[in-house]
Amino acid sequence: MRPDDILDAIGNVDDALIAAAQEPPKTKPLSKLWIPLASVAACVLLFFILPIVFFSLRGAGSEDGSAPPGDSSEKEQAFIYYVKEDEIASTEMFLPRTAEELFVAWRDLNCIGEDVCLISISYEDGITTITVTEALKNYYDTMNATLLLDTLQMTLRHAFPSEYEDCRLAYE
Amino acid sequence: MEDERIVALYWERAEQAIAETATKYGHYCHTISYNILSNYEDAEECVNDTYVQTWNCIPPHRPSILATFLGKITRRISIDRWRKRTAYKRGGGELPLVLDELTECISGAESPERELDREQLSEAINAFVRSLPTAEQRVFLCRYWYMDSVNAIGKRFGYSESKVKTMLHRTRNKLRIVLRKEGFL
Repeated sequence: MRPDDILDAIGNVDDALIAAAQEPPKTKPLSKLWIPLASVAACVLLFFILPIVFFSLRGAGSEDGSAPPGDSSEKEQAFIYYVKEDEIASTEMFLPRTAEELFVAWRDLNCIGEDVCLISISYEDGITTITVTEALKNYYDTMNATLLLDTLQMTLRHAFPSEYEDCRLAYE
Repeated sequence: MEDERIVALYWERAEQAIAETATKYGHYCHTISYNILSNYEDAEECVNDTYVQTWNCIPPHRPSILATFLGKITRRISIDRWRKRTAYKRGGGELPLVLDELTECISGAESPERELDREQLSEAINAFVRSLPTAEQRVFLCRYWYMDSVNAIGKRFGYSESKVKTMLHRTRNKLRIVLRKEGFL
C-alpha cells in the first residue's frame, strides 16, 4: 500500500462528514489571550463591586458603631408614598434606609402628628406585621384609610421588596 | 440559488447551471484545488475542469450535497494534475506534506506490493472517520480531505498549531492500528 492509496480512499469519505468538517465550530475555546484578559476583568470588577456591596450592607441598618455619631447609617434614595387629594402620590427623598426613618417621612408627608409612632415590626409565617400606635385611627375620619395604609405598605415595600411583600397593620 | 434548483438546471441541460455553480461554489472549489496545487492558474484550470465534469455527470447523478459532490471532483482532478506535474518535478502546496504524514499510517506494512482492494479500503477509512470524536474527525478531514494547512486548521478551530499536530499524529496512529487490524498492512 502507498500513501496515495490512503489519500484516494479518504477522498471517498461520506459527503455529510466532508460537509460537516467545514462548518464553523459551535463554541470557540478561550484563546490564550482571553484567559489573562478575563482574569484582569474579574479583578477590576471585584475592586469596584466589593466596596459597593460592603457599604450597602452597612447602610441596611447594621449598627456596628463604626459610623460617626448622629449618622448611624448613610442616606440613600427612597420613595415615600402619601395620600394627596384622595390619590396616591410619591416623592423622592434621601434618608437613612431604616423602617423607622421611612415611617417618619411617610407620617410627615401625610400630615400625621407625632402622636402616631411605629412601635414594632415583626415577621411570622411569611407575613410582616407593622404595629403602630392606635392614634393613627384618629386620622381615618379625614383621610381614606385604605389609601393611607396602602401608601405605608408601598413605602416600606419599595425600600425592602422581599420583606414587605405580604404585610398587615396592627395597633397598640 | 438553492442547490436543488442548480441541480435541476443541470438536468434541464441549461448552461446557466455552470454560471450558478461558479457563483456559489467557485471559491470553495478553488480553495480545495489551490491547497493541493499551490498555483493559482493550475487551480483555476482544475475548477473549470470540475464544471465540465459536473456537466457530464449530472444527469444521471442527482447529488444530495452539491458542495461535496463538486469538492470531490475538484479534489480528484487536482490530485491527478499534481501527480502528472510531479512526474517532472516536485511541486509545492500541502499535498507533499500530507503524503509524508500518511506514510506513517503504512509504516511496518508486511506486503507493500500486495494487491489492494480499494473499495474495501474506502469503506474501512469511512468507518474509521465516522468512529472519531467530532473534533478529531473535523481536524482529520480538514487536513487530509481539504488539505488545509495546520496553521489554517488551528485558526479555524481556535487550537494552537502544536495541538493540531498532536491531534493529527494520534489520529494517524489510530488509523494505522485499524488498517493493520483490517488486514491492509
